[in-house]
Amino acid sequence: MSNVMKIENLNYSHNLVKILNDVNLKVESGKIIGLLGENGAGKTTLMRLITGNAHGTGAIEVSGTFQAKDRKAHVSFTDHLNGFPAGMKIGKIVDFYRTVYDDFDDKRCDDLMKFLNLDKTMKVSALSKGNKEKLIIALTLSRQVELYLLDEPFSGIDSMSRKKIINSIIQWKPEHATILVSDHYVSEIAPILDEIIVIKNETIACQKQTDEIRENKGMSVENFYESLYDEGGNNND
Amino acid sequence: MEFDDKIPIYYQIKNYLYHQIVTGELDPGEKLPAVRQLAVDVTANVNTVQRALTEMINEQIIEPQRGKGNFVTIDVDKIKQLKDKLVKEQLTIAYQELHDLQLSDNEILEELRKFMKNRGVENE
Amino acid sequence: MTSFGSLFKALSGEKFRNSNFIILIELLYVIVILGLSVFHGASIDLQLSTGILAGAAFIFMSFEFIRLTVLSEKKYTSSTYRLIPVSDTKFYLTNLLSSFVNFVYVGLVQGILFAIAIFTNWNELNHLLSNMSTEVNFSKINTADIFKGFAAMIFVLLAIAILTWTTINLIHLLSKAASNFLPRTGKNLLTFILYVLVIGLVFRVVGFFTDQFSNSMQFFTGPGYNANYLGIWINTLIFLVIAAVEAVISIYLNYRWVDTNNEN
Repeated sequence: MSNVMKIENLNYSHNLVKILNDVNLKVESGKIIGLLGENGAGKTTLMRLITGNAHGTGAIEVSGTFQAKDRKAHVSFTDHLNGFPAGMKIGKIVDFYRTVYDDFDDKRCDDLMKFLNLDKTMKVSALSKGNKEKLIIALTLSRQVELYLLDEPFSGIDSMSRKKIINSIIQWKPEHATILVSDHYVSEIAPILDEIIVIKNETIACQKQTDEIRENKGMSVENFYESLYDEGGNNND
Repeated sequence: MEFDDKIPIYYQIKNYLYHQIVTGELDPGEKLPAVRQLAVDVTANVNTVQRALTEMINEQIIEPQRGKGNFVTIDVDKIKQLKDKLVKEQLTIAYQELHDLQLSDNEILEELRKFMKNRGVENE
Repeated sequence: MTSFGSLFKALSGEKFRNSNFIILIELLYVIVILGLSVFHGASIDLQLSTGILAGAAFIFMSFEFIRLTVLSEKKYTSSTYRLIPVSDTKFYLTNLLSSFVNFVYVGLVQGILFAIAIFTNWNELNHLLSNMSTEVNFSKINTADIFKGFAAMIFVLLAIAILTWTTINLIHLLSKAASNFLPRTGKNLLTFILYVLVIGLVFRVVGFFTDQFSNSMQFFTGPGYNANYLGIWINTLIFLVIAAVEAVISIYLNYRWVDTNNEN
């Protein structure tokens, strides 16, 4: 299988605080991968670095491109829509996405909106937490790209919304695209993951196939993930 | 479908489909849903479902037809063998557990008879 | 890669809605003030209407300028906008252009309002002009001079607008980029120092601009007018060159260091 993304010697600090230290990572095409780690471990930062919205040192290659402006065309990220006025209607936001992303697919968008019961005439400010997260997922998956970065799409939402989001991920993932989905709590998404990547102590602590964990270690993915913190001892908050 | 996260997911999907075939929910010769549809139905990853199907193909319980999808085998002997295998698996587990409780073979049979009789009464 | 047209549309949307809102409020303001004047017994003549319009133009153009600055700066640190697949140069120039176009748009509306005021009071204007030409030596000022003066005034104004935008943006991005190298307290101190420096600079520059501006206005005041047009054009050019240098630095900062606000 070919790699959709390759990261070499990636470092990032903010306000002189080291957040990621010498990250090296290869991610294959066609997978659903869980990006795990505690709150504040650097999951969001890693995604922001991949999109080019944060700047570190080191090389990030996505679909053969290195420059941030080129990578952006191959990566779809769950942006939290803060650039829009709160009173904006969903339909207007869809128009914005259609305008700025050449790879935006109207058919996918309509299908996703229907599947997730989203009404285009609704205002974003009127959406519940679960529905806003659904909208973000719908917009992110409406683009046709090689790499999707879903940043904690399940945090703080009800189980029905969660199930809907998981199903839309399964249903709308293009066959050869890879989805990287971050969470600090693995059990809810474990069954759909091919692989997990764990960030701990500012770098990649492990990258493993989930069925390999179950088969070779006889452990649930959740227990395995927790075991990484038992033996280490030097946890950051 | 609810998965046990300690057991490989592909294995659980395979067993789930085998149950459907043995119980006749999927008839011999019937077409299986498309991979992506199956993935949605059981809430698992397409790759994992594909792995389960590949093993089922290798075990000759389903047959892929180019461009059409996967079909349950029409060889009823194969399905019979599969059923025997599944029954044997369950019996092995139960037998082993009961044996570990220091029950003799006769006692196991006796307990099983008693169990089935009482269960019947409760159900009436 | 997103095309220039699409990017321009995306970056202009909010600014355009804002411009239209300001025009609407301005029209309401003008109507209310005119209404009040009539109510108090004044007749709507040239002096009254142009006076009201000049006041309104000053207030609402300033307001438009400030709103455009705020909306423009937000785009640089907004993930929503910075995820758009374009180069930093294209993003910067398009954002600046969309502010500029919106500013000109609201400016044109002012022009139209003045034109309406003048045409509805055409007879009065002619009367005024013929009176003036007998009092001051008005005939020495020809139409070409008036146009030259106007053009110079507008160009100076637009150059000032661009330079102000590029300067504010540069400060904004410098303080954002500093986050990479300074601890939180140090960054706050730097931002403070930058603002003090810039406010001082603004006072100096405003004084300088005021001179330029009155220079471009001289055709209204001085008989035997001989404004230094060449000087005005050269100064305008200098402003634009400074703006271009600031733009290059800002684009590099965006490319190399400036992170968007982390809102997730």
